[in-house]
Amino acid sequence: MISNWREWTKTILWGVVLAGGAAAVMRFAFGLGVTTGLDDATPWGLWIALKLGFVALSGGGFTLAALVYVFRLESYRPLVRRAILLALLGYGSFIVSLIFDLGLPWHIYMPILHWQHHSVMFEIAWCVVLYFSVLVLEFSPVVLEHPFFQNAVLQKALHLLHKTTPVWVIAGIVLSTLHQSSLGALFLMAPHRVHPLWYSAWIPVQFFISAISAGVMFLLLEVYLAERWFNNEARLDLMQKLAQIGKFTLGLYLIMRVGDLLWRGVLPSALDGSWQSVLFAAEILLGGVLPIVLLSLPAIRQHKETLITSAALVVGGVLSQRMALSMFTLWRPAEQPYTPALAEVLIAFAIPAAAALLYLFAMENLAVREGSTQAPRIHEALSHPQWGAYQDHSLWGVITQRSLLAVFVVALAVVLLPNQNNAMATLPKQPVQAGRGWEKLILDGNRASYQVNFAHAEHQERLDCQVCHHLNIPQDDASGCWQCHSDFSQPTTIFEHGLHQRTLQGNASCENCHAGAHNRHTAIDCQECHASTEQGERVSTFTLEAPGYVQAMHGVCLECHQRESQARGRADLAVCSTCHFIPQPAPEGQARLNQE
Amino acid sequence: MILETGTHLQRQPNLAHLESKAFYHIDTYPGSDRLGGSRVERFLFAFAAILQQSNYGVLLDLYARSSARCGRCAVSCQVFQASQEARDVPCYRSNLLLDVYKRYFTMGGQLRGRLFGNGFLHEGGVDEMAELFYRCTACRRCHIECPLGIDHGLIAHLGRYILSEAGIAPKGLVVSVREQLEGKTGNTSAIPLPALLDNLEFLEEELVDSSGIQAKFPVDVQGAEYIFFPAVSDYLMEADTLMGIAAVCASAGVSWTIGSQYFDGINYGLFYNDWVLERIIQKLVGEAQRLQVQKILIGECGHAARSARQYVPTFAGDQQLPVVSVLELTEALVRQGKVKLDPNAISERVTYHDPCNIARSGWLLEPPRRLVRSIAPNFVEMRPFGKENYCCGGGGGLVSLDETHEFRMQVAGKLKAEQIQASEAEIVVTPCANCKKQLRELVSYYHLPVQVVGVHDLVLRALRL
Amino acid sequence: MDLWLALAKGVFLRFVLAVTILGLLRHVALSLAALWVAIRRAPAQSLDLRQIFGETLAWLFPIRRLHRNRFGYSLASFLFHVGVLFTSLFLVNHIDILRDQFGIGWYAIPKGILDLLAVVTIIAGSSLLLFRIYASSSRQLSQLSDYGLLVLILGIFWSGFLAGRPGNPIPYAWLMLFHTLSGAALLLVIPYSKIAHCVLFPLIRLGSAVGWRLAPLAGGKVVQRLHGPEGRQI
Repeated sequence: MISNWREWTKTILWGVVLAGGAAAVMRFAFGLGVTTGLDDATPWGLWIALKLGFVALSGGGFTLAALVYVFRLESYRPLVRRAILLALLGYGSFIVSLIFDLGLPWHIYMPILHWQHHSVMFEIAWCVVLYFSVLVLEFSPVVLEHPFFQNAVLQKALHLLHKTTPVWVIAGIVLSTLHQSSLGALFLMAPHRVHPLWYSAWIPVQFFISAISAGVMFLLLEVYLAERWFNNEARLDLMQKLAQIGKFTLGLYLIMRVGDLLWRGVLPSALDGSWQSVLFAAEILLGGVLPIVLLSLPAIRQHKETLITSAALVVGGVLSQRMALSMFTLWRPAEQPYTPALAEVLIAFAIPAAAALLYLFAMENLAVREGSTQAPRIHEALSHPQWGAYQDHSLWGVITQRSLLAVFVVALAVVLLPNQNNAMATLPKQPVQAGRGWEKLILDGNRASYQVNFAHAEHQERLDCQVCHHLNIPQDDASGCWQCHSDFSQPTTIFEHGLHQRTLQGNASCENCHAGAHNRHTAIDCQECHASTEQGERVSTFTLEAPGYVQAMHGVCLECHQRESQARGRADLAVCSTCHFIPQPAPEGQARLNQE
Repeated sequence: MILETGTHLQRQPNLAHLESKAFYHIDTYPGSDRLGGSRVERFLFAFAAILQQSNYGVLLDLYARSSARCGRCAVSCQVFQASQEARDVPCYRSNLLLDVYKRYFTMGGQLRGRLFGNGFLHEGGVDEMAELFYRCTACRRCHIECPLGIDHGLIAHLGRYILSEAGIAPKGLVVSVREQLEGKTGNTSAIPLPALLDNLEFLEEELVDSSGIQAKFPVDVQGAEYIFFPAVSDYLMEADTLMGIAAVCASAGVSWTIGSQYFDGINYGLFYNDWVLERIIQKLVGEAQRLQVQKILIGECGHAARSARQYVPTFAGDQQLPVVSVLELTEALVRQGKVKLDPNAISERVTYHDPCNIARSGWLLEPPRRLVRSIAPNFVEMRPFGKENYCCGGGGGLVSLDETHEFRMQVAGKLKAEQIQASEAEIVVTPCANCKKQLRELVSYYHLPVQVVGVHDLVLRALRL
Repeated sequence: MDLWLALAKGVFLRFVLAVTILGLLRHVALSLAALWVAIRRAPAQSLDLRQIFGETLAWLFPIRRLHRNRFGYSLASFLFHVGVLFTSLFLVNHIDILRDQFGIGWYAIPKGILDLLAVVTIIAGSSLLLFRIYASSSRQLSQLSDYGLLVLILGIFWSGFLAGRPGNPIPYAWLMLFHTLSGAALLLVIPYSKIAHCVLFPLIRLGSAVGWRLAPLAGGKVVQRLHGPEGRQI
């Protein structure tokens, strides 16, 4: 059994990763539209916010590299490798989550081949690719030092890497500086969607400076937690130094942010009591002012616990800024709110969890930490045989446990899969409701704010009721289309087996409809019993499903419209806009309709 | 003691005294107490260590996951047939070990143990295992009848191995092995080399006296084709068998030798401890290397033949040597016409007992039969025979433990005695030192009018120069 | 009730079936990996695969072996296995549910034959249960799970058999719910009970053969692990 908190942590991380993996399978199998809450109003959601967070937390990488390799501050050297590891994992996570977000993920290399130099994305793509490559090069000496890679060619490569380190480091600093700020620049493209309290013409610079602060503070947290994990004492002096850097850059960022708001006169809206203003206040006060105050007190700086508390506040504040800007407060139509879907949430948790596992693997196997050629394996302390040790700590035991976990997690994912028997399984079910209006019908079956204009009276003069209405429900003269075509886009069965079973004496009645084997293929036609509902062509068996609402409506209208359009030479009768409005948010659409 | 006519023997087993825990005599190795803890803890320590280092984990996993406890093996177990005690059902015995495995070494078992707080191994459990694993004659007859293919013999082997590492092993085996591996004489019967050489000289003279055949027992011949390892007890008890082998080799001109540094084929490791098994195999191979021979020749001994045949390839490393049973060799020589046998030499009614170790796997079924049939026209088979034969009742090392005499006679060997009686043979031939000893004891215990001999005893009688 | 039934036949079944199939695949994968490692550890010995798989195959279709001992018991056991396999895999209703949930299906055996088979299975299963209780050696061999699984399977068969029959005294929905839920329970425990032999069967005999392949030097390592580098006397 899992015997200590480290094992528990890893096991839980594995569980999260596996759950995310299951969600990933669904996301790639069924596409973004089905598996996420993203839509045209909210093309950027949780994953984008997550990406901004990853990049912000990777800020320690270029900061420490600059401090040690450019400014030659040797006292920070013990931290360089772990800072670069964090940056590597951060950018790796960025790329992985990018793959999830792309509609055509296999086109991820396209920006490299086809240069669209008018696009901010072009610059971002190039920076990410180059900086990630640079990070790999910066980190590869650590990997190559491992005894596993002791061969002549690789050692030569290692030597070359050591000699060319400054080149890579400077390239890395330049690229990440560019990239950090260009991520902010993205939001300058759609200024009207950014909430005023988060908007600033200076967003790129704010992004860059706050990334230094967040990255350094995250590194501080990492140092403390990692040493706890490996039963070591973290060095207080290093933590204090990091905290100082973090504090000053945070101060700079705060001044810039609040100052800009003051300058433009937007700050008063922070007091209007909306939830955005509360979030803003919390972000600035808890994640900005409070840690600066705390870190200015010598007593606070003397204790690791208070240091990491302050650091956690800073990290939280910067993450909050990124997420608020890109997700929470981003303007979207009120009718189309964005809620992340389960798959999005699972993947959003899985990527950091996978990064954490990779991080632990690297820490346990590579010389990332100061002064250790190879970090000690945690579990090899067993000198005396213990029977519990047999399963727990061997690779075999780990495989056994993790695979059992995987069985249940994947099974849960299978539960989430849509049913397979529907042809249009990949479209979501949207209940259809009765249309609204009278003389001029405004048909909006699924209340999606896409109305269809239908002149009922005009059609009534020209046509029989039965052209459109099936009249198939007893004692009804105009059954609504939506009563059978109850799903917007999926065909649905119009036969209720349970109802028949209940009303016809349960099991005793199977033979009434089924001869021999009892399945849908042996059932008799509906008309054998329900002769009275017969109107037009025969419905052969109940296995015939009613088409979805959209198909049914198109089927009823299109043929006639096209014919009439030809006959009368009126092209405007058979185009989409004959019935469909140009999509508009509901209120305006309603207003416009009323005017007409 | 009096035998009635009919196949069912009169004596009903009196099992009351077998219930006592003194059934086997425990010998603990020096320093076993250093393992510390109770016997239960020692058992679990040993179990864990063995699981870590050996191949048994996969086996236990497979068995523990799928053992269906259908009880079909009960019918094929002669111990259960004779005792009718549920604890003798192979599956019951194996489940003792499988339950411990599940409780302590699988996730499900540990979880269940933590949830319900039960299933702990206790002193009584160790006692029961120690007793039951040595009530099995390791004949593996149940393996044939298990639809799932579970090998209860292997579980008994593993159970005994764990017990022995925990310090619980029968004295009879341990003392012999101690002499073999760490003693001065280097063999299980503690025969000093001078005594052996005297004995060989005596055998050569005896051979001339009895059958007029001039044959040598060559010792330390460098570069011989075969190095000969009989069960060492044969030098004391089976003179005729050895003389037969020597005569065959002499008449066919086989180049063979006996090693003076190591001349014991017995490998009790097969019965109770893999470590011992490996060390003995290495001694065997070492002596063969010393004399630069080409092949290893194993005498008439079931477990020696099987352990050498099966484990020389495993444990010899890069010093691989083929292992041949003397039965294969003689049969081949006869087939090639290098040895002439009188087809009517044995007029008595003869039957053949298959030693489990060489017959169960189907390895040596036909060669010894062909030999015996070619010289004894009046040959009958016992039913069942061959792969499905009954064990003599002394397998798995039990015959070396005098304390098990009553058990072997009344329970384990009862079916064999009935079988021999039903065959109405006058001579039972069997190429196995253990089987011969057990069968002789059975014959005298049940007063059967039967003579028990080895294959080469008969070959010697039929040999024509 | 209908909702419950839909749930049991839908989401719940899907989860359970996934656990069963994945769990069994996991067993196979783990066992194969372990066997591979074991074979690699003792490479010198030969493995008579033909003989092993021949035996396995012979026991898979044990028609000619049933009489060898405990004929009645063996026959009951064989019929029970055949019945369980065929009725569960080839009943048209089961296949319909599979089609519904996973979009896969296969040929169905006519229901009349399976009805007969179900009766045979119930009789065979009951006699297995009775034998287990009646024979003293089997009784002492049995653990709670041995009885439990048999009773569970018999319950599933009874409810399934009755539910499809007009004129049974118990309401259809109740029976069906019982049938579905107990079937799901059985599926859930398949990988974690002795029924795992449904996939491990071909590997057990191989495992037995591999078990006799002792790993070189393992004995000495065990002694060192227990007693430190100086080892022990015999």
